[in-house]
Amino acid sequence: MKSPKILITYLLFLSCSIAFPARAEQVNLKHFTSGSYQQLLNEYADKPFVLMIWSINCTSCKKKMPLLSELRKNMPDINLIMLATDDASASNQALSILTGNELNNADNWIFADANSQKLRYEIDPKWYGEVPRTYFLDKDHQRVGISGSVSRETLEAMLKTIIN
Amino acid sequence: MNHFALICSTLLLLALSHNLVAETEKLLPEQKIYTAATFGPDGRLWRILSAQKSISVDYSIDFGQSFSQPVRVNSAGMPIHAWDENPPTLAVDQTGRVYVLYFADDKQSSTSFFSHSDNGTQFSTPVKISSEANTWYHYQAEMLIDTNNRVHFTWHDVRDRAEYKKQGDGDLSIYHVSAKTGRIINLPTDQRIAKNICSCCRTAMAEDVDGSLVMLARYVYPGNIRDHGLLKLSPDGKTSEPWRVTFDDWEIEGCPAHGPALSIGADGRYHMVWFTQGEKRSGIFYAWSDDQGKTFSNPMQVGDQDKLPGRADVLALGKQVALAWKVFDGTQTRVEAMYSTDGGLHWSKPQVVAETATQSAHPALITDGKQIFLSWNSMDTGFRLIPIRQSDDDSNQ
Repeated sequence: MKSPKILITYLLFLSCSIAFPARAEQVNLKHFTSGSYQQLLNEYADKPFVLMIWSINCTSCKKKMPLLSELRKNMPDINLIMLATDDASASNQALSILTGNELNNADNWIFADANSQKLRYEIDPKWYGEVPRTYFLDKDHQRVGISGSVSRETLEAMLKTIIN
Repeated sequence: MNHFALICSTLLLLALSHNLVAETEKLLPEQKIYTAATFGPDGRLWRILSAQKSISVDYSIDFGQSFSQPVRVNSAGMPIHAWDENPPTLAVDQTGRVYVLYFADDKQSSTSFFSHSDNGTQFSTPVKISSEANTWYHYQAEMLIDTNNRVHFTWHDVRDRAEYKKQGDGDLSIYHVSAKTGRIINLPTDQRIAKNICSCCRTAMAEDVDGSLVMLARYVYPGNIRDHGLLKLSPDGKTSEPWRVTFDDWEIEGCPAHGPALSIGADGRYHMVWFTQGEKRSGIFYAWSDDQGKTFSNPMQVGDQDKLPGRADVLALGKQVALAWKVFDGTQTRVEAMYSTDGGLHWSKPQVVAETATQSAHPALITDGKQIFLSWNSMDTGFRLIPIRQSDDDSNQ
């Protein structure tokens, strides 16, 4: 070892690289618990919004993210809420996927109640938990829910419908 | 910056990063909900106990009323990471050897580890079952000890991602490895046995009377149809071509996160139960086959569609067959069950056998060779072992 300074500098560098990304990521995902869906409805009262429910292990969900990101840029008025059904320990993974798809500035949430069945039921009593699950809500919060990947045509048409 | 300041800030940052790791572990959901139970040849009920950093095993000689002192499986603590479609597995063979398969965060998140014990008093150092465990993520591993004293593992593996990307993505492969049981078990290199598997649904596995291993998996058929297929692995290690056995036409480019169940009776009858939201039918369905899965009986709907029925299990014990599944009304989760005494031809009315207002694991059916039990774990009540039998006032329909 040439000098302790090099070691210390190395350690400093190492700890920065470990600590900072993790720290930056943990503040951005809101914890979705019992009552959160109602909270969303209140927060977006009289506003249309899209709720896209996804999971870090769901390839079909991730495949649609670039398209969502693109549509959002073209239609900046769209309120996009992304909700990951993974447990809160996966926050870092979820955020890194969202960041990679330029969706980290959407309204991002993650399931944070062990009783996920109850969380799902509060969103939709008819939903069995398959993902992706996308809800389109108009300003009166009349909604349509679609399971599975949504095509570009359907997405564009639905977005137009809920805005008008 | 002087040396002192450098050392201080380094230590501070190290402490910070350490805390963040600990924070992530703390966020892992409560692991104690994910358990597994099975009977040994002497009638003892063995059980896995999961904690945030350890897996232990204990046993009961009074059908789950009381349990022995737990024996720890992993001496080095690591973040245990199961979820409802990815629970640990426990098996006990005819000599009383105990086998444990569980999931922990390692180089990949939720890697599967195997450990075994000659009599349940001391466990071998856990080993990873996948040959590529350090490189590729895998999950939903299953374990089965066959009648020829071989231990089998199958799991869902993402290592063929590049191959599936060309086809549009979303699928993965099933890999398999098996070894002769004994004091020392050496796992050879694993092999792919099935492809185009729906990534998020557990595969079911049972041993046929001819010694073959039979797997029931949710496949991705052309047009993103997520129906089920059977696959057979014969005792000489040959793998059959898979063949489709459900025709519900559930078209979804997504994750149903809802695997099937399979049981094969001593009479060779296959019993399967599965979940679908297909074009042709929607809900939980049961069917049986007397020709090794080539043809099945007409699917029978199970459970009340208005109560979100799901997570069904099936178990055959001779002519007795039990079905158990979960329902939810917004507050209470209930396990309902029904029973047949003629190999699945006629069924009792569904009965509620257990309930909880808290988080719960999937229901599992187990047997001591004399009767069928529900093994179920919920946060409020903890582990429950409940006999499933026909009630006196309930005659076959």
